[in-house]
Amino acid sequence: MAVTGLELKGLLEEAGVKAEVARAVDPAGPLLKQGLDSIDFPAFCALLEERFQVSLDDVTALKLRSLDDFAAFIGSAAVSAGA
Amino acid sequence: MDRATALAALRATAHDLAPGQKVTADAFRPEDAPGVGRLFLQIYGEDYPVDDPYVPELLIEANRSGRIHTIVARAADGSVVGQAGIYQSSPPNRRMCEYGQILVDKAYRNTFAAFRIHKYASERMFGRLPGVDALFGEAVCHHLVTQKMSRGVEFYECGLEVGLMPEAAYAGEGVQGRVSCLLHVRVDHDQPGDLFVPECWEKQVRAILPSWPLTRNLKPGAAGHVPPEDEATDMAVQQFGFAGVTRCHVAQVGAQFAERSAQEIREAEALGHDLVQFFLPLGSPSCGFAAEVLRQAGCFFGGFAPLWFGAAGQGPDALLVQRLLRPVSLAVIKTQSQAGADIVRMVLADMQRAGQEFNAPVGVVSPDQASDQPFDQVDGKAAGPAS
Repeated sequence: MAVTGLELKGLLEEAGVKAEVARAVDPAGPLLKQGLDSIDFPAFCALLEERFQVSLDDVTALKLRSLDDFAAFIGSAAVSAGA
Repeated sequence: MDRATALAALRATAHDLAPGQKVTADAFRPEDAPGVGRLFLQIYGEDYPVDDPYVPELLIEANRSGRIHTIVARAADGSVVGQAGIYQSSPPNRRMCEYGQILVDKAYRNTFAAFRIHKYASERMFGRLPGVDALFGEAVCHHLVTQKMSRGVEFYECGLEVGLMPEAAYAGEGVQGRVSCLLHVRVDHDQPGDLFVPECWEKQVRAILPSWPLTRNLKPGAAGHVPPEDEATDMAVQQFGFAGVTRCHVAQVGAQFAERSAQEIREAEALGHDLVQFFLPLGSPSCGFAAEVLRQAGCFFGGFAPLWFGAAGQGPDALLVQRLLRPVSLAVIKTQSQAGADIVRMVLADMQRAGQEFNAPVGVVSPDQASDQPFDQVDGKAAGPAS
């Protein structure tokens, strides 16, 4: 499943990120430096797991810093699942 | 098995968990009990004031009976790496439970274990537990982590317990001064009833009341409504020595309330406590009288706690009134919501009023700015003295 960082940006609010913070996020920049806090980040990860049917363990999640990183992870997980 | 035997067994089997395992949140199973005990021993040592977590049989029975609903974070090998609880604590209303005791093993602090526990609790337990009408939490204010957990799960801020916890309870967290806690409540099943709004704190109660869709018959709680001479004051007193807090639940306001409350304040002072709290029954026509008595004794507004009394006493709701017993330093008070900030402002303003009007001791907020710790670095020690 191909998804872009920009598309994932639309899910931030759904995960509970404040609208003004979500709107300002640069998909290429580290999320935790753009206003996401320590509750928003795991909530966003959990939402991605549900939405894209991927398994995202905590160690891996903490290495994914930007929306583009998450998009690449979801893309590679889809390729693995399809292989 | 008694507490001493259970602690000896936990000491004998103490071990470090294998790090890096996949973690899943789930409801408690009897086989989790030793793991929960291990966790409490790691974080609190042998001093946790309640036996249940240490003694497997007690914890299993408490979960079976519904007195406690434990949520665990289990690693792939079955180890308990974290836990939280929904449990009966201070409120006289046994159908109102506390949500807290969120603990995470030191090897799993840099994971989402606490988040997973909270997600499980909010999705599978909040609003679904039989015999539970309301939940409350006491969120520490020297950081925002616990407060943020109330976001989006219908817990609404309704009080500030000024200087509730001693600095020593948060050793290593850079705290200076006593820690205040925001009281927040979630109501799932309302119990309609009378609400006698005390004259002296009417503005505060009316500001908080609309947070939930409660059915209340609002009546004036006049200060002059003195209870009948033959009506006795029914007051249950809890002393929390380690926290330096005396908590008084007033199920019924009697004619001798002034003498009785003054006696409790004196005894709390004699014990060297820093804070005394009174929970007054807002369903009592004499609540306004009691509130005025306490106001003149130097007390200030603390909060409005829906369903705190429930069917016990003259409920269903409580007015929290508090008094500091000596001038204290308070740790920085942070809030994550406008509602929380409004309550802090309201309570601290009334504390200053009590100081100016009755020369009552006040707290001085520390200029120290404790950092907003990441979620995964907080061990989630329960805030309340009764936890």
